[in-house]
Amino acid sequence: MEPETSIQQPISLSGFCRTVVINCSANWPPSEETIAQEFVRFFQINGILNLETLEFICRNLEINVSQRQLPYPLRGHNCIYEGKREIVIGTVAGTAEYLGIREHTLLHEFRELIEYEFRKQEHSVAASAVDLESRAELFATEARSLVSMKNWEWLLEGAANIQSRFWQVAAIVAVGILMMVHHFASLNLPRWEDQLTK
Amino acid sequence: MRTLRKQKGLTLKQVEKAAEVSNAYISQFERGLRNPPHPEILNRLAKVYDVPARELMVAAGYLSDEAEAESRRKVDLAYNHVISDPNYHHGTRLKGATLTLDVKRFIVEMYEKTTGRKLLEHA
Repeated sequence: MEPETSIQQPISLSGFCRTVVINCSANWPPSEETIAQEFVRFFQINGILNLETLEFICRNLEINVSQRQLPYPLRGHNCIYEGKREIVIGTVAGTAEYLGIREHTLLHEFRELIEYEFRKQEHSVAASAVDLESRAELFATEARSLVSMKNWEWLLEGAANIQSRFWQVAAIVAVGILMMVHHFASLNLPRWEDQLTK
Repeated sequence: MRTLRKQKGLTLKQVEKAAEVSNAYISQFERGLRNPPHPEILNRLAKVYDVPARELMVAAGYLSDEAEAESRRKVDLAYNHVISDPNYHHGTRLKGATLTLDVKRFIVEMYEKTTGRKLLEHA
């Protein structure tokens, strides 16, 4: 059962931050896992957390997102000035395109924009710029992991409903193995990124 | 160039594939038998070797040390302006913690685009 939460309307970045502040006030600052959970719930992300979904969310929040070749070793950039918000993510090619590196970078930059909003509301989460960097990395990993977990649960339920006992067990084992491989890959993506983007 | 390649543990064939430059050409260039590659090729090699393109440009003679120093000074000055503007916030996702000159230049260009202010002279 979903826990009772308050969602501030209309959907906006400040509304999202107010929601997190209200829901987590008893235990501030929240962990990145909690912020990722709030993010997934607030923006009602149920399907796949791909670039299109994230760009759609950003468009609705009036965050301009673009992709371009960035100078090494830059992977992503965000800025905010007088209400104008912008995220630029680096283009990737080959395998990297399909493994979620751009999504990871976009989530990272999004998390930093969230922090500016938290600061405006006098509820900073990150203690320093370095802390924000590592928190943004964690947030990106957690958000991607959470959404994919939802999909795996759905697949596991489907497998559990198979009539034949043999195929039911085989399907559950197969989904379980895929789930572990995917989870391991999600956690290690930032480490593999350099090799994948070569 | 050979040192950079060896440091990355790459063979000529691997560089050929990654940078789309013939291995024979790279080999000749490394041995000083050819003129420096075109800047576009240097850009591709810089990515493969994980070094700023400007470093290779200076090494190849496309940019003089003085011009590079002057350019660096201007970018550093503009970058300091960006980070001291209390109304402008920015963040980056970087490999490692080093801000290269090219990255600083990019950050300054983003500032110029977002705020409409000019800090660098553009040719």
